[in-house]
Amino acid sequence: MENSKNTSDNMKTSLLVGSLIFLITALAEIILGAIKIYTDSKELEEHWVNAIPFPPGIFPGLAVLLIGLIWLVGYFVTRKGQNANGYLSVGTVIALGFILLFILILLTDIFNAYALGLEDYEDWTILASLRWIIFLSPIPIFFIMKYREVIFTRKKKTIVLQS
Amino acid sequence: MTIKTKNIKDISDGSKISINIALIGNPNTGKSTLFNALTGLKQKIGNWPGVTVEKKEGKRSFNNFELSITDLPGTYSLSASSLDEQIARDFIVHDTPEIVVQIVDASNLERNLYLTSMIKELGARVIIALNMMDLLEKDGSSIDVQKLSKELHIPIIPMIANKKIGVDDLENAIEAVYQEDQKPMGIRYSKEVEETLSKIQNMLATIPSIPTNFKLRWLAIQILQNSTEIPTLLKRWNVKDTVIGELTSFGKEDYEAEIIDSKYEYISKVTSKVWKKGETKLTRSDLIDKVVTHKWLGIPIFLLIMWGSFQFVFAISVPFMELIDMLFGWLAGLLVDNIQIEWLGSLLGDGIVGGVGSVLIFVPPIFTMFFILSILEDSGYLARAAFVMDKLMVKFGLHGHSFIPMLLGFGCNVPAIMSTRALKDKKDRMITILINPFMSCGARMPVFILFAGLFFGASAGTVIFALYVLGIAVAILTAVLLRKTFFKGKSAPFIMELPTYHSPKLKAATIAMWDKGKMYLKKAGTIILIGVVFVWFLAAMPFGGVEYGGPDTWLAAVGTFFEPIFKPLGFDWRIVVALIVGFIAKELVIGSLGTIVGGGESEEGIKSAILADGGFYALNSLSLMVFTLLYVPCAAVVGVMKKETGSWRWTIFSIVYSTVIAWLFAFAVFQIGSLMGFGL
Repeated sequence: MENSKNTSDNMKTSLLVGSLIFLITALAEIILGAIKIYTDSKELEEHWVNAIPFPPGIFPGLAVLLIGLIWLVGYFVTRKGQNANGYLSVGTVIALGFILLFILILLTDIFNAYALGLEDYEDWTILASLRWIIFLSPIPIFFIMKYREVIFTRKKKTIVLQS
Repeated sequence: MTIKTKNIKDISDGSKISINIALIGNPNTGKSTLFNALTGLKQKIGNWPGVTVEKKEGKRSFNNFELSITDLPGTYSLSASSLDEQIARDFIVHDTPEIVVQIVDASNLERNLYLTSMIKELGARVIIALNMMDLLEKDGSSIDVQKLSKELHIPIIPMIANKKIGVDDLENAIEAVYQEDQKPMGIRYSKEVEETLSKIQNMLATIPSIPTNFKLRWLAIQILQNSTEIPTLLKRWNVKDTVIGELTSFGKEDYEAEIIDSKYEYISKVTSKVWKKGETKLTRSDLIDKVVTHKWLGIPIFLLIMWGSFQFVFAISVPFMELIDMLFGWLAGLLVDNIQIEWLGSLLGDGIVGGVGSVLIFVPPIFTMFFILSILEDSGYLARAAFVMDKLMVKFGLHGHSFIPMLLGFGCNVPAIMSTRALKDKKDRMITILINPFMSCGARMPVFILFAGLFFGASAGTVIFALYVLGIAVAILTAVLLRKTFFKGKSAPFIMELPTYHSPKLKAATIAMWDKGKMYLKKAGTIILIGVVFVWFLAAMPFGGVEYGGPDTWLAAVGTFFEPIFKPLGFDWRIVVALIVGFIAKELVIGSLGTIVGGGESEEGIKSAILADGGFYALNSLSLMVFTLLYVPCAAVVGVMKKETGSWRWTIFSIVYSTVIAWLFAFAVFQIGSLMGFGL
């Protein structure tokens, strides 16, 4: 009983902390991404956008935002004493899915630039493909390790059928 | 030699006994999986309802038997209120299979047995394949299979079809059932109903023209339930109008409700004896559904997953596309440089290799797209997407089930339009058919990938995603328009069973990807090849003295004739020609451009040819992508649309409407973009 309460408290804290980090990062990425695309202000670009070597983007930022929101809703669900396992699982799986996606994009960019030597990649550097969400990967990885039982299915049983 | 007899003991010469088997079941119970397990075929399997919309046939041999197995569309009843129900019902009545194997979802026993009661009424011999026993066990529930079999007078084979567990037992059951008659189910209606049924049956018995394969009791029940189909059937059998009037006068709505209640009452009584329900708790699927079908989070999650999918498709395919491009560039150069006969070198290099090559370059993204769709479908997520979108679609007067054909349209509009057969309401069905071509099929993707990649760099994936969203938006707006004009009325209620989530199988996804993708490869070797040769011919004619693909060719004459219509969209005559040829197959838009623009520059490939060409730039490329997304569907889609709507009027409406819409949207993109300074 005590154990279960501790797990629930831990999950509540994890969901809150994880969601806040993702939400703050997402807002920063979306704002900087919008500045990069929609303003001509050199000053803003130099001082804000270029200050961080990893390119911000609106859509990648929205992905981070949504993951943060899923965990945040999960946090409020746990506060009501309800089961938030689904929120933890879905948020974590989507987060890991997008981290793997952006790592894959990074790898294909490296291949395109160095193995194929494509023209489009003449000025490309690895930093240009390092998406913000990649740096947030410790959070979903921590969730996977800590709440493995919740996120993954239990051991499969062998089923014997008899007619 | 194949013979048809029940006396298998007499067979000793090695000949086979032929048995016709119908495979039937509620949607999403694993029918296609069992069909594949039995026949060794690779029939498409989907983790959502409505995958099988037509009957499919396969064979299996064992011992002395040769089974001809027909996979029927998934159906909840045999009342023939929708096309798929009718297909299933007609097959059992007209083709009179020796055995009907009904696949039953063990975790939804009661609802599945309702269909069993209808099959038995038709007089068929039934075997129940009790599938998904693993899920039942996971749930902590159990079924006393032997007792259930005894109660229903039907052999029951427990099964996990996707692991082929129970398939051999099913063979044994088929062999046993083939040799013996079956008792009917023990459903008994009230005294009044039974007496009326007897009266009707006596009357029907006096009509000699009723085919023997129609069971009189079943017909009597249909008459009592006021089935709208009965008068048509009776007329077909030349029954006098007075007799028809007398028979149909027995039909009352009260009887229909009573008959259905009696069936459910009987089923409920039987299942209560055999089914032990596990502890009620939220399953993993329930917990995930709370999030992915959440009131506020559901739609954003769906959009995010779609956006991520396009990013994946684009990222994974670029290197492969480059490699294929290099190969064809090298091949085209080799041909043009080494063939002495100029026109032949041009035909092979510019025409065939340039044209077909520019289409084959897009094999990687198309296959990847199909792979991702299969993974999403197999996991059970796409059914949730339909469920989530239902709330939005109902607001626009569209049926929630319409979203499934719309999603299928991302692969190919032909099967997507055919899958609308599962819609019961004719108006819903017509609307869904007419909006389907706005869902961007795989064949349009090459245009998006090429131009988005060329002019929108790192945002290419986002541009493609936006185009798909635009397609959905135009489809929904069209639905609103149709609902408020030609198809007035309320949409039928949406009931859909959400399948259980399971880990997608890599093998199944790969098979599905290949099945869908090979069509594209096949087209490249047939219709596209012919198309590009035709375009090359027009681009080279008249022979002698004209520059290939230049302004003095026959191709230019065709293009320049139509060019004024497309000038406000930013298209020159070459794009116009490519779009016209694209009516045959959408892949030909790129194939034609490869032949026209890529002429003589095959080493650089079509990409560098377009970049070097002054006629293409970001804004008119965006306009071209929007036009390609929305304009007239390809010839195959037009054909299936005619077949499914049964009307040339609506088919022509779709062609004209989609082209006008495409023109208006492309016009808006180009003109507004020009005003904002994004022009050349």
